[in-house]
Amino acid sequence: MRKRPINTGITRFLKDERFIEWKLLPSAELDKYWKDILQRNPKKREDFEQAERYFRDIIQFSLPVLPQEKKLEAMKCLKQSLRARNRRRVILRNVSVAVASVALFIASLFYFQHATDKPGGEPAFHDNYIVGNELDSENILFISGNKTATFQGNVDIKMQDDKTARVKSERAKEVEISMEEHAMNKLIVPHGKRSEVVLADGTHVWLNSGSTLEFPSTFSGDKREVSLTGEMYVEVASDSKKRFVVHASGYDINVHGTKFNVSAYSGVPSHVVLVEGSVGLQAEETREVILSPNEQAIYSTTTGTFETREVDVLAYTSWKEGYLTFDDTPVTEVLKQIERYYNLSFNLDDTVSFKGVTCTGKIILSENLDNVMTTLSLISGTEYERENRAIYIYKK
Amino acid sequence: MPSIKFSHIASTYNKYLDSLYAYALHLGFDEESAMDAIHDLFYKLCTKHASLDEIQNLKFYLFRSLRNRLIDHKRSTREFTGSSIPIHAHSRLQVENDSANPLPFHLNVTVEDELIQKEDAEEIRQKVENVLNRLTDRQREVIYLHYIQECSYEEISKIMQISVAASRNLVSKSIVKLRAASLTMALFLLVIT
Repeated sequence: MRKRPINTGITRFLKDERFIEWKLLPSAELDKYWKDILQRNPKKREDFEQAERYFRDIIQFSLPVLPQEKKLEAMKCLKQSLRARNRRRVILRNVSVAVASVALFIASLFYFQHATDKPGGEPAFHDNYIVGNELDSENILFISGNKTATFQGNVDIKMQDDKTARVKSERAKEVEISMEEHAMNKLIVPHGKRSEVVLADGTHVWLNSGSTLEFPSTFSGDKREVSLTGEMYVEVASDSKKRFVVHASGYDINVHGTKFNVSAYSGVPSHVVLVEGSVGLQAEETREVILSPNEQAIYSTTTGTFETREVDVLAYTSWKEGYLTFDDTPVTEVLKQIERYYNLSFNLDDTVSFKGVTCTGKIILSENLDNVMTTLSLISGTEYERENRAIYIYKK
Repeated sequence: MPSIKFSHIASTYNKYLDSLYAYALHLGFDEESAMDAIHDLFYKLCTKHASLDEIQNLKFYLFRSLRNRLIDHKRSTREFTGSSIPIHAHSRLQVENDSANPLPFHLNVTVEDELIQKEDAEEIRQKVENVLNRLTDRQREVIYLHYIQECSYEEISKIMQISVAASRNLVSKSIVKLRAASLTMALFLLVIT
């Protein structure tokens, strides 16, 4: 039977404490009470039945919820306790068969005691797996002057003229955003999202997950300047009169019409890979380093200098085509990229046992995370398990 | 020795963690004790059994074990802090019935007001709170298990270790007494409306 809109006849029951009590804690006494009332007032029966149906929709209880990180931590902890126990069993068996040495016996006991008393507390007991979890999705923000627009899907932004930007977001209509002249704009792309921007001069920027690009509506003055945290691939429109400058954290990239990739995430070494043309890298108080095509410059924050080497540029630019390529890359590095791209979080700080596990091959950045994880386990010789929003990676 | 692998209980753990955690918090325990008890409960489950299939009704097994564990924890911490409790207070039941330090049970009600007017929602919320305040801790616990966790009265009686009749009668007996004063008034009002 369908529910009717709630009228006063229905709310009268919902506001009745005996009705509430009866619904929450039915008892013979209250059963009888309501039966009697309905017998005496048959006209109220319909309202009564509707009220009964509505009760569960309306009355809820707020329950304490455990944050996702705590949940994962607890799972990890249990897993470690159980593994520590299994290991202990192996150790004890060996000891009882061989009666090897008293010292070993004591050591194993101490080991076990530690492991059970403080499950998961000791880094020494860190097991051969990496755990990750899926995070909640965030929106892309486009901030122009004091206005902010938010988008759920990846966006394509084209600076139309000095007062308008055309923005096309996935699964949404194209919108025009009007801007103040000479306003500074900021595009914030969270983890799990990507965006493209065509700047006022025609320069094309691909912005990777977890990146922020600041750029003006029009390039006035004698330089074209943008600021970046995170990663972008850029094809700079040539203009011999106005040089293009990227401010990355710690250094500037001076461009003379070119294609290159900049990766400037906080917490990991920042680097520039040049595909075509020529760029100069200028850190504070050092001589400009000129990069040639197929070269990579890695910036060291401690010395403030660059180290250059030749690389396969495809490995650094393929993300904008929707795939990643790896050549003997540590699996933890790979997971760092996957975690940004898919908005996951892995515990990569304490994965000593994964040292030496590397990947070689290609991972298509499919929308289906299982495809990605399956490929990763194939090319890295690992196994993975997914439990709801948690992902476990084991060594084979 | 039998044992269950972590990978075999991971999904079960995930499924029940929230409701077990909420149960422990409603019973007045802090986050740490709650999580410790849940950890130990699953650890024991894995080490004592060879398969989850050995356990007939997993849900009530988990709720009952958690409850017992928490009560034991409460008793041991009280003994530890040296509060004056009678020597014979060893059974779980006595912890619960100890009027000086009962096992509390709290519930927070919310009323969905998208379906109804805000004022009505607030009034209903207030009424539900009145009802909850009038009940005993054990009755609120029955509501948590029955209404929120959708346990049957048979399961509840096993979880709380009371008879099926008692799990139902927990309801009427004490209410009759508590309600005596307000009932006459309430009935009178109903007749008028």
